[in-house]
Amino acid sequence: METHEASAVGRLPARTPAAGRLRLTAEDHRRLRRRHRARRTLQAYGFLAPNLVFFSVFMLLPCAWVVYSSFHTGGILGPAQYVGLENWKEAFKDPLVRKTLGNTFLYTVIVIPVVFVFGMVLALALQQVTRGGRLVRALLYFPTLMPVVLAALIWVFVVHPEFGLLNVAVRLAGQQSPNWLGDPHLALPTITMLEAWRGTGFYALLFLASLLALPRELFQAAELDGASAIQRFRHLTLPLMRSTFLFALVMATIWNLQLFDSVLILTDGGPMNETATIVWFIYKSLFSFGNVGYAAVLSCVLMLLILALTFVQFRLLGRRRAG
Amino acid sequence: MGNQFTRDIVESLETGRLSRRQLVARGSALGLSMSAMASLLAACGGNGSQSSAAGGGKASGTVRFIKGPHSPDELKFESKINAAFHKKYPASKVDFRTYDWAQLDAELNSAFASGNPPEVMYLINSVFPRYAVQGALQDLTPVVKEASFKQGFDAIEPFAWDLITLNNKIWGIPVLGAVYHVYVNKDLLQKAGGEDWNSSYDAMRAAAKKMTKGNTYGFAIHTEVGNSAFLNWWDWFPYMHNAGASLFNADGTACGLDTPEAAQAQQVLVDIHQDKSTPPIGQYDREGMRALFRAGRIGILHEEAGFAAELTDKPVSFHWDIALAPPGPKGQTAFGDFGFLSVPSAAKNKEGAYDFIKFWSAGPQVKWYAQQVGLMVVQKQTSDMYPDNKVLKRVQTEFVPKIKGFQSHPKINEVLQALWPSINASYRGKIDGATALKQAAEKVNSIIV
Repeated sequence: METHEASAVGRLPARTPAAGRLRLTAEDHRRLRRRHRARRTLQAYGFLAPNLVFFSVFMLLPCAWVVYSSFHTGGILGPAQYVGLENWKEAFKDPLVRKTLGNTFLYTVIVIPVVFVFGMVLALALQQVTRGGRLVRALLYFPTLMPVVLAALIWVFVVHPEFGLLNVAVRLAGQQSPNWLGDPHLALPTITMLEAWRGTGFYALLFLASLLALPRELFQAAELDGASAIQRFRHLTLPLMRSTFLFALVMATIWNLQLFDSVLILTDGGPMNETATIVWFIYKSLFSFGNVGYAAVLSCVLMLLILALTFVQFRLLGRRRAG
Repeated sequence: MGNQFTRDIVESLETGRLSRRQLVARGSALGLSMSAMASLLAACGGNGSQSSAAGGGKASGTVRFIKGPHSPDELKFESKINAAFHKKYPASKVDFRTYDWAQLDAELNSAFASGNPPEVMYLINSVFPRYAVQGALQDLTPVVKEASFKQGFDAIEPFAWDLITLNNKIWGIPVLGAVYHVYVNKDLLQKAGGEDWNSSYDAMRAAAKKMTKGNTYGFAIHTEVGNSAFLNWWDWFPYMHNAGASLFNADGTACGLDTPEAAQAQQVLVDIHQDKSTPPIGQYDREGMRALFRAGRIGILHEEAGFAAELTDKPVSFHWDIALAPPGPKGQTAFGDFGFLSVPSAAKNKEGAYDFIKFWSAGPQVKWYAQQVGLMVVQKQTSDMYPDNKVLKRVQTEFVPKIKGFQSHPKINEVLQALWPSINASYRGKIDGATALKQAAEKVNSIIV
């Protein structure tokens, strides 16, 4: 006697064995598995759809428009006119493009190690704190929460030549007050200090969360085996936090290559373009100079650089496969 | 600021509480000239009788007006003018809002790109050219040249119309101006024996050197971009103009800065900085320099005319005065930055916009507004302005006629940004004045040619 049973995987094939025993062929199994997977995938896309639509409309399409604009002029106040590779050629010849890219890279390679080192030190210290840890964490994170404009304005006072905290400290040490934002050699480091102050709290908390999630028994075992604190840090902590470092490095690179707000507020690219960054130049090209195509080229260059660096970082620090 | 009695008369005229005969009687009693009274009548609808509010003009619908604020009370001042406009044109309504000066470019671009920009925009002369050449602004030549506006047109200085003219078309009605000149600490000058500082550049340099002692500086000019806004350029232009140079040549096809006279003028500024007669370059922003002057620590400061209002409202402990930079080989000029009322080409209510900009730019309105916020006007008749403030009156009547601005060009912002590092480098002693101007000219030419 043939029977049909409803099942969670869908309808049963026409042939069913007798006596309530379900026996499917390999082909049936494969077919059912495919259907199951397809249904699960469709369900997942159904939940992702709103986000995907939002992403497409507000991220993908604008990106595509930027790439399109890089081969045109105009397009905002009037119709776009195709100019081929003219914008690209101009960008590669422009010394200010090289200058802004150089400033951006210099800033990035300085600020990332600084926030990582300070963040790690603070995270290690916070790991040991038992009382008042929450308050300390909140205070550490406060600069990150602060709007950039506010942080930059605070920094204007911090570096003020006459009553700024930094110069008061410098004078107490018997030195002459530097011209932090007015000296071409000091302006970019000053902005770097501001961004390091703002960013350290975030990375400290990120590293702390990772540290707290590490398996304690490994460290206990290592301690029992006679490993020193530095050895435990070097051979256990750092390798176990590899994925956290990868995430932090990728995000830090993406964020810091887009440095803009504090430059615009503190120096507007000066003195003598020493703090001009690529995003600052994109903003100026688009809004102050009205050069839409040129700004689009610079945006594409930045996007390609970020993609390339992210790829390299994943290759170098990504998960090592076994065997 | 401003004459309360005159303001009362204007308000009475506009609301119809004052007839023509009463205007003449009261105006004469107050010492107003017949031409001033005629201007009042023309600006307020020419009638002054009860019917002016009822009859109205042709403006109708909503006129959206966007402008950068010149005062914390901007909304209050605009409301008054808008109410007067509504009285004159009862079928119209003005919807006013401000844009953020710091986000001017972004906000205006967004407004134009939306396809539904406000009917009237307040634009400055470094901004309007690139919108004009891209067709975003309405050519107002037929509007300002029509017979009914002849009086309003003739009331404005010709140089102001030249500034808003690009490609032989007029893109707005000139209304306001900010003038940039020099403030001097007379006590410091007297102590240093430098009262003749204004006779020549050499005299200015010598006086600056003598006044510099300790943390007191003889001379200050804005040198950086950023917090000083556009002051670094506006302070510098008179020296170039006094040497007969200008940013562009006559037809705007090449840079006009690289001349021997301009190089000499630039070298004077370089030498003053190398003499250490100035605050350390880039150390103080605009507010810092103002604070130093107020503290009596700067002898000669380049600043905007509006600073005089601050010095009057909060008196300082020393005697001060205003002046122009010393004359150069080709004259003595002041620098001015101007604002215009323009109409976007995509504006929906153009007729309403035209009537509004003619109304706003008329003598009584624009002069009243300017005196509220400490700005200057580009009207020919200004003797009635700033009766209570001798300094601003002097700026309006003596300095404004000597103004030379920069030529309008669609790439003006790019040009100014590009040339400045060379000028800044010369102040820092890295290159001399002639080299700075040569490099600046090369950069400018690479942009405009």
